[in-house]
Amino acid sequence: MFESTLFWIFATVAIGAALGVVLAPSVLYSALSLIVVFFSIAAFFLLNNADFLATAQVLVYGVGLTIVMLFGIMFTGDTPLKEKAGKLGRLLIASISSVALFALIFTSVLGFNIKQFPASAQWIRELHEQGSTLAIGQLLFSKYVLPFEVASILLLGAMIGAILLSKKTFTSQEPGLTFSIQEGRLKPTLSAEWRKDVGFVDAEVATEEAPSSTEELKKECSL
Amino acid sequence: MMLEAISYTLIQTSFGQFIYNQNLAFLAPELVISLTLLMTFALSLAKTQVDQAKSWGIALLGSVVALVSIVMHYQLFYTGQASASQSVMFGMFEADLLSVVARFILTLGFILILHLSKRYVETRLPSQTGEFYTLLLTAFLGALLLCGANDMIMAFVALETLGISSYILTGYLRNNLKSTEASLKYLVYGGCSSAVLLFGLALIYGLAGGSTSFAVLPQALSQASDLGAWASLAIVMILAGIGFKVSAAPFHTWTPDVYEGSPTPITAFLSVISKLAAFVFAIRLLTPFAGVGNENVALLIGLLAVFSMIVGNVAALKQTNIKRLLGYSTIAHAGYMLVGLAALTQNSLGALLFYLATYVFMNTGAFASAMIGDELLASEDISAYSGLIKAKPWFVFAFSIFLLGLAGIPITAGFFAKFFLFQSVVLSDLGNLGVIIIALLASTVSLYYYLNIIKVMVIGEPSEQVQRLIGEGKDSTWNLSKTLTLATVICLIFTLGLGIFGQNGLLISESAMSDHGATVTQNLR
Repeated sequence: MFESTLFWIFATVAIGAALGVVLAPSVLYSALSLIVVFFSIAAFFLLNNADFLATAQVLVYGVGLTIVMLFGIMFTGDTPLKEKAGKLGRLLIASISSVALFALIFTSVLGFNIKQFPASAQWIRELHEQGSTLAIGQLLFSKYVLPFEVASILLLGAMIGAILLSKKTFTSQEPGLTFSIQEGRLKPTLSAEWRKDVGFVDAEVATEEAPSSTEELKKECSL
Repeated sequence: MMLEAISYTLIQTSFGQFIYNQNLAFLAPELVISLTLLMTFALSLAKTQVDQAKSWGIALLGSVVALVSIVMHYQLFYTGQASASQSVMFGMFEADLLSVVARFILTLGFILILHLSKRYVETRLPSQTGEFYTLLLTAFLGALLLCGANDMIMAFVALETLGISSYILTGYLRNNLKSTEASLKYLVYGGCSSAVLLFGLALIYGLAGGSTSFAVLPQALSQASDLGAWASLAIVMILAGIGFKVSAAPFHTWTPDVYEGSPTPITAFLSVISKLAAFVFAIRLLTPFAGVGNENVALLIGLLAVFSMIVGNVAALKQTNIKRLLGYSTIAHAGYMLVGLAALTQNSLGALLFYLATYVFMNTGAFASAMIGDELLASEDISAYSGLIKAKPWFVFAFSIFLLGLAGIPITAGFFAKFFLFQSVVLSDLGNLGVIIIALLASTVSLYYYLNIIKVMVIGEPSEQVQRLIGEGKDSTWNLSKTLTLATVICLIFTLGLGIFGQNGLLISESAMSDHGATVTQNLR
């Protein structure tokens, strides 16, 4: 009784927050509602005795991912989303296929009977008793050690790629940013090469006058 | 003698015992490639470009060593020293003949793609050479592991290793808007398709009674006589995921844009390596379904095949960009291959593997030709190739052979591959004559756009660029990349050679499939 009450509470919260993600007028609100969705899904996992999954959900999605997203939004600016009407035909196909997929999932859930799958039922019973963290840890370092190691190479590749795609390329050997003291104030100057590398559109024009204040420099650097 | 003593001492240690018991030696190609990618990564930190350029040599050396180790492994099968199959690392990886043959073709293809990349990377991405090869090797490692992955978790991790590195490589031309667009599109579509595939695999995991191994699939599926809606849901989701990876319609929408936008060697990589690995994964995952409820699986794959053949061939008719055209042609070829997959018999799967082998060489050759064309004419437009025979007859000859091979004209391997494939499907129980007729009609349609390029090159009026080439004549300062030429020649030899010795190639791929089939039935018992 207690569990089912909790389930309905979290279900309502999850669906409400999910609607908030889609319908919120600004990206920031969407991201904040997404955190609520992730936390309520973590609660579902806990209700199903998947303690490890719940912790991972909170750590990875609830905290890590959303923080990164919020940072992204802060840097790119919280611009209100424009309404973009899709083509009617595409909209029709999309809605038909999603309704069909939902119907397929729904009928499968209705027709589900755990007794049909005795081995799965056995597993679930065992995990209820001993918790999943220990079992996952043991499997990860014995049976699944090969995928575990390959995953580390995958993450290495992903990290290299992320740095590569986001880093600015510098072809110039000269220092890009020089400081000089003028009229008793520190004055930064950007070299022409550096400006070109960073990707100022008006690289030629902009070199005529160096940015006069640090505020202006910051504004240009935040490209 | 000395070596034996050392290996004997090593085997006595507990780590040595572990390596021996888990057959880690059969993972030699993967271990070599991992080591190579770490070395190229270390080199990428080097300051000077000369040091970075060495990473190409290291990558090539690593792949050749991997190739040698695969051949040595094949030797074991040939002399009968290896039993039907060896499971590696707690059954994560199945070192059977199928994995050996598939990895052999894969490594050959990868070496060709390394040859394609050399000049391209040197001229266009000089400051990021090391990272390029590191990521390329990472993607290749994923493809290699996918060929033998016999466990859902292993297969998914391998698939993602292949996928994520490909997303990055697709957007490697950072100043090029099309490349960035391609990368983003590929990332978003790929992420969604992986999620769908994972959902399907999770359902299968439940149906199979809490085991992630492909080995228990046949048993689990034969026990659950009435699989009901769950199984259909799982199969639909898995087929959607696989359909994306092999770029089958209606999951093909990313293909033309990604193929056009990404650096050409990466386009070749996606169309050859990714596709081959994804098909081997599909073969491993779907063979257990051959016994149970196969009508529905066959029907769904058949539908994918028909869609792909129609969409690919019809859309290719009006393409003017050579890379985009080859992109649509890959969709069409995915359709032909899915016809073989739908029959799910040993012969049809053997023919499919042979088709994949020939496709690797024909398509890599076509992309190599497109790269040479791009260097010669500085254009990817088909109209720029007009009248090229007057300036570069040998190039036109090679390109024509690849196009004829893709179209499936006799003497080239493409004809025999198609012939064997369709023949095996007709002879199978599930052979659907309607699908075969559509496949034949589609091949006929494809003749138009393949032959059109040859027509333009041979009898077209010389285009502006070609006239400039003719004008330069022998004084031209332009020099062809040696590695690119070598790759083209090798592709040419294989495209013609696999046609002449097609029967032998088919025999090898069929024995690989019967070995795989034996393992599956063994698990069923």
